[in-house]
Amino acid sequence: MPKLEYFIVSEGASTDIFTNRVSLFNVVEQIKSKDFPVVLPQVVATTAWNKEAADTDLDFQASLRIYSPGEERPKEFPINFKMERSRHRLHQTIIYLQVTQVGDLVFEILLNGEHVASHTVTVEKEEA
Amino acid sequence: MGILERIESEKFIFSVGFELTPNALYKVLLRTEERAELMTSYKAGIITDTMLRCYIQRLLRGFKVGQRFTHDITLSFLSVALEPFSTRFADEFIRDLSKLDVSELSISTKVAKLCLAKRDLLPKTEYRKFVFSTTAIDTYKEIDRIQESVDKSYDRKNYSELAAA
Amino acid sequence: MGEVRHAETKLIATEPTAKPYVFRVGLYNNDFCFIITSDMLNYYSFMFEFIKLIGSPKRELLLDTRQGNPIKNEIALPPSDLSLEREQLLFKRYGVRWQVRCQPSGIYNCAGHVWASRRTAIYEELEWTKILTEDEYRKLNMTEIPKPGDLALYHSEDVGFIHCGQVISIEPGLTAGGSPIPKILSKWDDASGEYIHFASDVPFKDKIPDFKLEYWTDRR
Repeated sequence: MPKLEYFIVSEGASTDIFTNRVSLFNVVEQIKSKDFPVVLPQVVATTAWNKEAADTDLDFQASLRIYSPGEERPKEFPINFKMERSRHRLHQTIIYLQVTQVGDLVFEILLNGEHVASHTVTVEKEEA
Repeated sequence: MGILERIESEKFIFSVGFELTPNALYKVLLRTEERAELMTSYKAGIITDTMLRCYIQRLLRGFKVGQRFTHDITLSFLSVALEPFSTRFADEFIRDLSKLDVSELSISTKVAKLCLAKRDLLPKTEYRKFVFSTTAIDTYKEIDRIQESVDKSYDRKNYSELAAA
Repeated sequence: MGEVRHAETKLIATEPTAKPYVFRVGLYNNDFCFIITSDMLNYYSFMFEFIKLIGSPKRELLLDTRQGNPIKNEIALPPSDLSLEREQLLFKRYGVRWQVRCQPSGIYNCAGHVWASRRTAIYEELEWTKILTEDEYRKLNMTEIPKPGDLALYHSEDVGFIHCGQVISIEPGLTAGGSPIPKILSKWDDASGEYIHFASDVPFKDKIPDFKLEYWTDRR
């Protein structure tokens, strides 16, 4: 199974097609809002996976699971990929992410259904 | 003479060494000035994917069954020049050329395989875009304004890739 | 787009302008052929598709090392008119002192000449390394004089293996007590002729000026 190198949630991400370098913009760690619900126009969950010897040409599924405070069920966003190269990066962009109340907004990464890592964003009410 | 004309010329082919083995040719092509020039032009957008596509298609018109392909060295050069780029065109060209198993393109297919092996060391990137909630779209009156600000603030090239995904 | 041999029977393109990519023809005999519309050239994702279909499959011989491991090889096509022109230019530029053993031919390259008795070409560097190891070749040290039948292996640090040839004679040194001068029999590539030349008289000296020459032997 591929090994996770890193998992970061940010507001934007870009890969230069000429240098192949990744840039992440504004890592999301905390959200403050005066009013709720608040909508995040965009967040990007970036993961980088390192290939193991037995992974060549196998299919995998990376699921991004988002636990929003106050919501009973998480929302899941899967992406299938093949480990063709020694490292594989995924940018999963979520638009119009709605948060209804203060609490912990948790982003979880699963590989083939198994938990791999999580990233927690604290959601707070901004004092007037 | 433009770079694409030059890499087709007998003068260029003679200068790089048509007599070299694929591995030696690959290493020699890596250090040519023409490679640096084509890479710069490609990166700057002076030479586009469409131009390269048309160029290659024109070269391939000279393909004759049972005869060595005239532009075998030129195709080898293009593989080596496009090797560092993560564009979709570069990926498909090098991959498809390396998979050919025909006698007529003996050298370029082997050079493409060497390029592919090098490229496989580079990370691959995939993009997917998801909408979290449609209720957010319905309830918010300023959604159009938000969409516009996302478009403006986000990297344009990257965004078009995401939109395509 | 290329030449396709076909019978003299009537061809019908049932969908001559189909997109994106169709070739269907009416057949009156068992031969098959393709009609490729110019529209198809616009679809770059099929850049090499027709070559895959009509190109000649590679031919390979069963060739093993002394230890019984297979050696990847490929029988090269005969030289084209352009290959012959290039060969003539090469000879004109570098071959002033070469002796021609035979005219340009396909089938084999330098490694195929040395290790496969001119039956096939061996292109890959890994295969050359495999043969040197598994056929128990050893490098001659500086004081050893090569003998006819030994290998002349050209390489450079940056490029790796460049060429291999066969030592066919040892000429006396230029001066009394001078080092003997080996003469090498080489086929430059899979379309060239065979030439007898002095060790440093090689056509790639301009392209790879830092090349080194080593002599290898299978003699004990």
